[in-house]
Amino acid sequence: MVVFVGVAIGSVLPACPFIAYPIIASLYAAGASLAGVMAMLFGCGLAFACRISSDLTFFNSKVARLRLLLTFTTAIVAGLLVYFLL
Amino acid sequence: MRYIEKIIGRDWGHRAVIIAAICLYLYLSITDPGAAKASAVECLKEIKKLIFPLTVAMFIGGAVKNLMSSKFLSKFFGKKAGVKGVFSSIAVGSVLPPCPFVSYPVIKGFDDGGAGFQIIIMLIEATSVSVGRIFCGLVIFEPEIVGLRLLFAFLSAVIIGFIYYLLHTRLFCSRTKHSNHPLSTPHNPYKSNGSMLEKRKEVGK
Repeated sequence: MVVFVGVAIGSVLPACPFIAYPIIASLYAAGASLAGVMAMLFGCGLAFACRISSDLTFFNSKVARLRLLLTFTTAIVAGLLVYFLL
Repeated sequence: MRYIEKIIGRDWGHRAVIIAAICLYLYLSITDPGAAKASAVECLKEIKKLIFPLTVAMFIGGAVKNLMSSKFLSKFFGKKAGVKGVFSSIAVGSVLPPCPFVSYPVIKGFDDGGAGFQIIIMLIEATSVSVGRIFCGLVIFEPEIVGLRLLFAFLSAVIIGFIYYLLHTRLFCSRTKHSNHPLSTPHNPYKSNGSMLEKRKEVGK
C-alpha cells in the first residue's frame, strides 16, 4: 500500500527535482518510511502534464498510453523491490 | 489544408494539447485576467529558458540518424535487435535528460533513423531512470538514497523492458503467424490445389 501511495504522490509532483525533492525530503524528515520515500522518488514526474503533452506533441497517443503504463509499472516494481528487499 | 495541419497538428493528440491550451487561456482571461497574464509571462520565461537546450536537442536528434550508420542502428536499435536492443535502449534512455523537451527530440531522431517501435517505447520508459538527477539528489538526500534510487530504477526498467519486449515479440509473432502469413490463409493456393509433385503425377496420368 505504501508503495502505491508513494508512486501516486510522486507522480503528481512537478517533474523538476529542485521542486519535488525538497517536498519528498520534508516528508522523509516527518517520518515517512524508506520504501514510501523511494516510491515517491521513482514516481516523481511520471504523469506530469507537460510530459503527457510532449508525448502527444512529439509522438502519438499510443506512445503516450504505453509510456504511462510502462513507467508506472516500473515505478511500482522498483518500489516493491525496495519494500521487500530492504 | 496542409498549412492548417501544420498549425493544429496532424493527429488528435496534437490537436487536444492545442485546444486544451486555447480553452484554458480563454477561460483564465475571462475569469481571472491577472492570472492569465501572469501565466503567459511565466510561460514566456520558460520558453526563453528552454529555447537553447531544446534547439541543441533537436540538432542532436537530427544528427543521430546521420552520425550512426544504418547498420549500427539496426544492430542495436533496429526492429530485429532482440535482447541486445532492450539493454542498449535502456542504457541510452537512462542517461538522457529527464526533461521531455530535451530527451524527446533525441528519441525522435532514433525513430526517424529507423529504430523499432519497442525500442522507442523502451527509450522513453528508461528516461524515468534519470541518471542526471544524481547531482540534484545528492544536494538534498544522503548518497545511500540516491544510489538506491538509481540501482532499483535501473533494475526495474530492465525487468519491465524485458517483459514488454517478450510480450511485444510474442504478440507480433503470433499475429504474423496466424493472420498475416500468406500460407496460413484459408484460400491457400498451394494447399487447396495440392503439391507440385501431385500435379505432375496428374498431368502424367
